[in-house]
Amino acid sequence: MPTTTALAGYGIGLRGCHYRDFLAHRPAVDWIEVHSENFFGNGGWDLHVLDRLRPDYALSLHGVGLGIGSASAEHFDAHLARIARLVERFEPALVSEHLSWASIPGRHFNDLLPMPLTLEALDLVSERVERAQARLGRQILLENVSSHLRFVADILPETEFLARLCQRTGCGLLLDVNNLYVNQCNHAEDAFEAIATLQTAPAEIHLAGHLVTEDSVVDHHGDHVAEPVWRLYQEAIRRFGEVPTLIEWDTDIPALEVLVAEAAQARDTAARALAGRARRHG
Amino acid sequence: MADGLLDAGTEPVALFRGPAAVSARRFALYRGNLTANWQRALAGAYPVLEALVGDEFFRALARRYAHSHPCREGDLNHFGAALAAFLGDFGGLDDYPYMADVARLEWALHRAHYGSDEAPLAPAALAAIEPALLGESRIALHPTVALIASKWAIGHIWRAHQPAATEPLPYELHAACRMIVHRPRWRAECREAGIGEFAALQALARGEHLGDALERAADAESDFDPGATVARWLDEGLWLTATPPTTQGELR
Amino acid sequence: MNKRQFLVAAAIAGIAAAAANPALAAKEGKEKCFGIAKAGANDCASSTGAHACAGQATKDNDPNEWKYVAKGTCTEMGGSLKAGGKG
Repeated sequence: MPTTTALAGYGIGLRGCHYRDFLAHRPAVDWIEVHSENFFGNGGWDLHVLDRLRPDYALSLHGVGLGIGSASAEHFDAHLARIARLVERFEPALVSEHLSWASIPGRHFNDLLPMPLTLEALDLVSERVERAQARLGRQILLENVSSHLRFVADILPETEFLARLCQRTGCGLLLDVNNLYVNQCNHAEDAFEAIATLQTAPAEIHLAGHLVTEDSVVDHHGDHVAEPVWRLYQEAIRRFGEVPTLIEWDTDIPALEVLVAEAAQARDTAARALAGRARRHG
Repeated sequence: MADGLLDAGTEPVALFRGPAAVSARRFALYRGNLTANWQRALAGAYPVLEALVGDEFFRALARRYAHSHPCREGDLNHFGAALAAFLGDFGGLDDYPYMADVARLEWALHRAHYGSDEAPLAPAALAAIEPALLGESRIALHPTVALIASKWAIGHIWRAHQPAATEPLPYELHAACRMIVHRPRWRAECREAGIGEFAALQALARGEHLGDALERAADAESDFDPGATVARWLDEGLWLTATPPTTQGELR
Repeated sequence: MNKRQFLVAAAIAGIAAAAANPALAAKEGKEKCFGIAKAGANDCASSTGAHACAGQATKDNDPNEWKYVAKGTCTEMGGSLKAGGKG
């Protein structure tokens, strides 16, 4: 039986290349996050490792494949049932998904494709979130995604779309600060403004590295958190106080120590932001 | 948008803000993600096949496979199930007829990795079966076990491509080979089986009685050693349950 | 004793031998219990996984027609084997 259910502080994503390190010496992070879909199997090494680690770490289940905004709901309930099985087995503190679409009838793109940010889309996603929360019997979090393209049809900023979604469905917000920054670069959106006017306090924050290319900034999760992203993070902490924060690293994954150090840097950065806030208000 | 993800030149740029040329270039990033997804998902299950054909060929193969066998679900671990069959049909590897069998072996290993953790049959549980009834018992193989037969040297090919391989690449490829895939504890493995041993396991998988399966083995291979073979199977955990022909029910 | 009885009797001896042996995992030590660090197919990006929950920077504008030649280790093994021909 899992013994840790609350989730606070600074976590890292658990990836296959670090399983042995985690088993050999439980690294000093407050919690771990896994991609739900990697644990959909009937058995095997991945589930075994998570079983072993679960008593020592609070857990967040982060889905990458539900495609909650897909117009077609072909595999929605089947996918949800597999998440439900994991929720029952591992009792995670958080369960999250992305504000994105992924499939058409007969084909799944296995990507986080951008949604048109319209009222129709808000209706569709609200219905899906309610269905998911009813099936899982708990709140889920929805994450803002990075995108290369914005639709002509968009009428809401993404953060406002998410705030309205939270208000309507009771879901929580997973704020990816790196994605906000990437979208600021790609679409000339003001990330500071988005944080300053956000109507919902995030239940979790993601931090990651990105890659600047000629055509677009790519959210590649393959580097240290960049300086402007740390500054945005401090703004978020000043506004909302301490929020459970995850370091995501998925491309060219470094040694575990590097991730643990990055999580520690998030802790220090948040502490500095809070100290600054206390001075100003004190 | 979905059409544009599948075919270059059909980007629906009018849907997006900003100059059409920029949107088209950015759209191609999503298409690049898609191809990379397909390639990586297949490479995860088929590392030997990838090494055999090379990176460029494998990437193009992944794209072509994904167009004809779309991934239908949000879990990529099942994408690739039909690749062996696809390899037999698509024509690009006619000079290398062993590829489809290598793919069958790799897929069985991939599935074994995610197979269920049920405890294999303990020898002590078998010992509880009345000896006179053992020959009429049915044996269920463990769900991670797969039996792959080929007229090509796929075992040798597979072993020569493992990270710590000590065997060189084979030259004589036209050599029949029977592989047993299984997963002792957590690591999916495969080994070559003798003709008799393989015939017996196939018979058990079909639901034949143990005595019949052993007879098939002895018919196929004159020096088949039932004692040593059964001991090895149990040691490797290839059996899940044994069901004697009585009201005892299955034993595990 | 007919052939079938002989085979089953030998199998029973094999079962007894296996029962007398410690389990495979215990015999071969802890290392055997470690699984392979197979990258999750649903991890993000690059060499470690497949799902594009993290983006990658390669555009794909390649056409779909077939024009590729296998150039991996298959070219070092056994030469070219025409389908149906002898190896």
